[in-house]
Amino acid sequence: MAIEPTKYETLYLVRPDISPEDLLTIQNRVEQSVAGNDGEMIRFEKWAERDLAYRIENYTRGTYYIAVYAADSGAVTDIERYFNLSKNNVLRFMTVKHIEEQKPADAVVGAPPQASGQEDQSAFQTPPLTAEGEAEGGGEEAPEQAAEQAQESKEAPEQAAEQAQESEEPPEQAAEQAQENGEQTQENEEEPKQGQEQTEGGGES
Amino acid sequence: MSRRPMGGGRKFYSRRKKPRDLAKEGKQIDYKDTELLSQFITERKKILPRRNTGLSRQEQRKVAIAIKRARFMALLPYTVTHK
Repeated sequence: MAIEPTKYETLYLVRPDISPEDLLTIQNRVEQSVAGNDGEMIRFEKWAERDLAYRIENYTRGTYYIAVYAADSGAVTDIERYFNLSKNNVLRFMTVKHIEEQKPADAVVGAPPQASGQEDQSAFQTPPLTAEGEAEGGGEEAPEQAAEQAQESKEAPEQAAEQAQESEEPPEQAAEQAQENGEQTQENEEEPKQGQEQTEGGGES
Repeated sequence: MSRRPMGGGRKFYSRRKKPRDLAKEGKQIDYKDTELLSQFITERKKILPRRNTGLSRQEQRKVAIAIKRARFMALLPYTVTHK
């Protein structure tokens, strides 16, 4: 295998009212330039549509597109020459060396930076998604139920407190009432727990 | 009009902020990450000095470059006056 071509990342900003055809020709032109320089497009996507930090050619809003590719440096000059010629559509552009997004775990594994190529990128894009999905799927139900439980169990003591305040009876009777209420709350707490266990079982299966 | 060779001690800077290590926080310095970069600029959008950011020399440099890149791409403003 020959020397791996450098990875570049080109971010460019197009005006918000660009026609779809122009947008497509720009994209095609970028892809052609990459392909024409022994390159490979790794990622091409619309990055964001957002308000500009300052006015450019009286536009206050713009759309950013990002292209990540591995190619010879000729591709960069080619693309940038084209962007310079299409100034009325492309407001800003910038090409930097692409730095792989590293997660701490990946950094520890310590594969040489050149070797961690496209395979790595695809590898760590997919697994975290599934992991998150599982974590969310399992975790979502439980906290809500816990919150409901907390609300239910809170209601009973409040009632007890109200009763205690309202009744100007001797304190002993009030205390008895409070105790009774306390027993009721204990019973209330037990019931939802069983319900939770059942739903958790259902979630796992 | 005598200059004070020792600096005179009139100027004094606010206390150094506690050190901060972005690499340890697992954050990568990227010019597209405006949320992170805006932590290192003042209210008037100036780049904060290292004594206030608490970053290492290397990270401060990376952050400063990233902020300048973001400014060029209109992701961050140069100043508050030009709107």
